[in-house]
Amino acid sequence: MSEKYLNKKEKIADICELPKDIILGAPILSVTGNREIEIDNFKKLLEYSQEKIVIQCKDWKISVEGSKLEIILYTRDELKIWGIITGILFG
Amino acid sequence: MMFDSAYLEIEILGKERERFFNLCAFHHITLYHIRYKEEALLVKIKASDLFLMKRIVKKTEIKLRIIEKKGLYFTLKAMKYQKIFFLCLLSGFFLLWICSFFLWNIEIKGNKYLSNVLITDFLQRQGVQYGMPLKNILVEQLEKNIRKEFYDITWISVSINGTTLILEIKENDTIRNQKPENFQNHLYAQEDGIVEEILVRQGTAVVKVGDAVKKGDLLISGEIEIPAEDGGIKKKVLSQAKGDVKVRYTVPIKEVLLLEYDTRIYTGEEKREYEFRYKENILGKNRKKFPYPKYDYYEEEITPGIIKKFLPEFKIYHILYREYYLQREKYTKQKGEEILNENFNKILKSLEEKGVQIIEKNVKISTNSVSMQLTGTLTAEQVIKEKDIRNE
Repeated sequence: MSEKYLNKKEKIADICELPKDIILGAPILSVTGNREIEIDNFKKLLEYSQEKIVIQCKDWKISVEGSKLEIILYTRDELKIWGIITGILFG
Repeated sequence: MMFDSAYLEIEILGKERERFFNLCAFHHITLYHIRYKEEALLVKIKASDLFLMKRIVKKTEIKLRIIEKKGLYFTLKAMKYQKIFFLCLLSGFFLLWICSFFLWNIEIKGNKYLSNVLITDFLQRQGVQYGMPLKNILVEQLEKNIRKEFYDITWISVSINGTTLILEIKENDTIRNQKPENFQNHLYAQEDGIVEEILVRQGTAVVKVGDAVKKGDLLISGEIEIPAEDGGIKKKVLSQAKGDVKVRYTVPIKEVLLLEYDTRIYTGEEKREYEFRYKENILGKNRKKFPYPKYDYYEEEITPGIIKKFLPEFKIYHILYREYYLQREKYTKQKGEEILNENFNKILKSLEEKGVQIIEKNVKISTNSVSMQLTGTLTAEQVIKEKDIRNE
């Protein structure tokens, strides 16, 4: 997706005062310390191992790295991860 | 939450595990606690979701195995044949609960002259009988009615404890214990001593101030002589002796304290158990089995409220035994004196409570190798009044 197109959408969301996660389809991440992470607005799970979890969102891939990673809750809208989180990468 | 109902723990083996999870999420199947166990993945799901997974399992070609079944549904299923038992147990408790709203026992305490039959007959006439709802008993009204009916009752307390109606009664003993008019009463000495003061309100004084009296000697006689016109005695009237006689006497004091004593050292060994009692009888247990050679015994009642309400005589106790052994120790001189002084003060206090006035104290503490002694005498004064009268 082009940068220009994204900026346009962002502008519309700003003007109309609409939530960006709906307009842009952006994921919402809630991180609690380095132990818990909650992801909303994602597409699917691409990879799961104890050291790395890769999640496909609308425009990006999010990879959560760490050790002893466990998926505590996995539904259509919500994904909750526990473990020792060392990094979150957007690709 | 999944733990409310039945849930399963499944093991997943296969290559397309991520695809399996995505398809589950797409079909609104919630997955909980996905974690690795060696090569396999363990997942918790709701039991009802297992049937929805069938097609997904086929599609993704994974191997699925149920590891554990948990929840109320599976527990009940495992107890398939005990259902009736649990149902009976539940209905039993329900029945107990219902029964706890009715009167099943009447307890009458403190009655000496009024028989239980007499009182329960009156209660029946008042509409208080076994099996009636507890809420229909008007306690205050019942108290008033009983007092009206039985004039001998000076005090009454009606209370409801569990399913028991408790009537605590105090009867008028003084009327009952009153002696006939012609019964003779005298005033006697309580201790050996010297009469200090004498004041006669009724009767005839037998002793005078300064007389030495012994315990049990007559002080004031209840006999009153009525003089005749010629100076003689017309007749003797028997009455109750009344008056105050102050007697001074000495009280010997001897308190011995052995210097060596045994003290309890707790080993830290403890044993706890539960005991069921019905009317002071222990159920299903032999008390003669002592857990330790020497031990302290503590008990605490832990009967649940519902049992207390319905079966007040059935009690559950928590028992604790603490083992100890005895170790011989010796009092220091200071400690020994402290204990003896304390004992001496107790003696003084008990004498004062009896109405004895202490005039002089003459005591000393002596020590030998074995014991400490507090010896001496107290000079005391006591006023003997009508209440000390002994009936002849």
